[in-house]
Amino acid sequence: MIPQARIRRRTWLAASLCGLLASGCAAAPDPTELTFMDYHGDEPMRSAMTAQLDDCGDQIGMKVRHYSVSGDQLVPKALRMASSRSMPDVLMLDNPDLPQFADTQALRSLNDLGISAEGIAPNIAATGRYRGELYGIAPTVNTLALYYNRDILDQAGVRPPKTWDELRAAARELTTAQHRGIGFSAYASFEGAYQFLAFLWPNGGDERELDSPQAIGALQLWTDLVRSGSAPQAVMNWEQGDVKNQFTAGRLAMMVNGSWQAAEVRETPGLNWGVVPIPVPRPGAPPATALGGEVMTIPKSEPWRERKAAELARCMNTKKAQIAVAHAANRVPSRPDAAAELRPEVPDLRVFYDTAPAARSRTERIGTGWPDIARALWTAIQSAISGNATPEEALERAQQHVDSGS
Amino acid sequence: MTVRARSRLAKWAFLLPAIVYLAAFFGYPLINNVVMSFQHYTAATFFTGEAPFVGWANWRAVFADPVFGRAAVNTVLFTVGSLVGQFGIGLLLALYFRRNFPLSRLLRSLLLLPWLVPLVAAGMVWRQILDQEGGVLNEFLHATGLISQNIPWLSSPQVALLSVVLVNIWIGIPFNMVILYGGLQEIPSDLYEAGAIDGAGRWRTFRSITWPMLRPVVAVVLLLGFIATVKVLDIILVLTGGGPANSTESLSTQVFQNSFMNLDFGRGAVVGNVLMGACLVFAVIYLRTNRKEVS
Repeated sequence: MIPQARIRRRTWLAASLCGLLASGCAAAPDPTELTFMDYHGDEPMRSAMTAQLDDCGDQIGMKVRHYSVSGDQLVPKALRMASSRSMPDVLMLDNPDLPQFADTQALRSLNDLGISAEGIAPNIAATGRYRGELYGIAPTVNTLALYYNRDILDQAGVRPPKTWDELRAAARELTTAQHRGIGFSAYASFEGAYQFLAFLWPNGGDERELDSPQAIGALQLWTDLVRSGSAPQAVMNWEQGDVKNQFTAGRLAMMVNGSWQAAEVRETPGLNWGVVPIPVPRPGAPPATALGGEVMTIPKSEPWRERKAAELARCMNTKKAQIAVAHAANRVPSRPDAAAELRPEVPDLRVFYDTAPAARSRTERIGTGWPDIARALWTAIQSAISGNATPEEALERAQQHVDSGS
Repeated sequence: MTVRARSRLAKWAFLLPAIVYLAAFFGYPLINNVVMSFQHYTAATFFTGEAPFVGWANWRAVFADPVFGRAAVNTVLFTVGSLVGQFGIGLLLALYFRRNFPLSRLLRSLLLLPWLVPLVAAGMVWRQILDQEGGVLNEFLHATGLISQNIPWLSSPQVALLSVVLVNIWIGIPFNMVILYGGLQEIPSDLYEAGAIDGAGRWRTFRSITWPMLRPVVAVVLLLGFIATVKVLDIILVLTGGGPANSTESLSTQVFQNSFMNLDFGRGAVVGNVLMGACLVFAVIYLRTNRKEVS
């Protein structure tokens, strides 16, 4: 006869085994539901995306589960999911991460699923391409511009600068005991490198040749601004959100920042502000900033799920959907016709709409090389503006670093 | 089965859970990490499962990187600086609280607060405090006339590492204080009475009674402190992101950088192995000194 206790133990064992098996089964995807993963955990983007995804889900006859992880966790999490073959149906990546992800072969080429970049501005479509193949599609984008505090500028009788010379002069004049002339992000992260491109490119610089005279010239501008005190040395420790906080607190007369900050700038009581394009080296030189924003990608799964995911992505990319999200979250639609329609309704963001066609993809030329180059770049920026090296020395070292790394 | 064989079997059966646990959660990852450092292990590996062996290529690449040398030196400075500060201040506080005085319990529990704050939250607040422009610390030093120019706590390659060490000391003091205080409570009071009768002064009492009696606790505190400090990542990432100009890069930020920013897990594993090697050396030193004390 088997003692009672042992029977109980066996029952427990069986129960827990069943539990394990059942949870294994539960991981199998729900045939009535698509999953959409991104890093839009912050308002207003989160609600805008959820609302639009619900709407598109209704249209394609599927439930859509929208879930967000923090920005720095998205890629590691997606990689873990890739190794266990449990990727979301649509994965929204920060656009510079696309080449590395496409390189893993975990993503389906969108052309195969009948999605094309037609109707999307060509420069924006480039952010979703890797080796000529379309892997991602961006419904909305954002760019950088120069915000300024109207009251401070009026009081000093300074007009918003258009060229680098005017920028130097204005920043100097606007620097007082209460506030500095200009702030930007020179933080040791992709943000610092991202902001610098808006100065590197208009000067004719190229991210593949960091020690070119054009690149040195651009870094010289940042270095001069900081070393002269027109910009605080603390920019080395400011992410773009910190820059915005300094600006809304009235401690900066001007700042380099993106359209997504407009929500909080608008809500700051008593702040009278405006936006102009980032000043360019010479009068008439076209502004060129780096395109920010995310691309929708479709990881490989079962054919019918991929087709449904493609339907969802197509719906999220229609003119109507683009306008809804861009309007709610202060972004620029990637379809020129959608942008043209929304532009009159957002007078304070017009500059972003006007400069987006000249903005560029960070990875178009360097593909998977962006993390290395960005790192070399932000190290050089910090060496130069802290006075530890001249811009020339710093950038030469950066280029050597890139050359030896690969 | 003989009785002896049975009892031996029983012994192993009791050991088995621990062995399985160690093998699964320590042995496997450890060995895997070593193997990974010889593989071309990238983002693609997660999907394809292919990670070709590349010999010493990852090791060569990591050791040739000047940032790695910088990070190694920084890790030594950071660890030694943090340990000296944490331990010194922790010991002084523990000795101080040994003398019971009104409100000493309350004060002691208040000193534990840094330990309770999530590290990332603490780091964010410290970044605001240490900001060169509007930071509270510079404002305070200004108001009291101690400085005339703002100190670039986190925005100068020459100062940033010191600031990061100071913040880490602040975080580590409670741990050191609590353990050392506990150790002090264990010292029998008759030793002190005997010392007092022999006319020992304060310094003599400390040197001849407190310190020798506290030695085993000191060894534990320093070992745990070393392991906790050498791998600090979150504080550095939040405070400076490794900048300015790599001045606060450490081995752990290099692991993070290689593995999760560049998605080159092979190189990340190399740096990780170096870190583990350092911890292992200290653990062995600790075990040896302990063994001597027992015998």
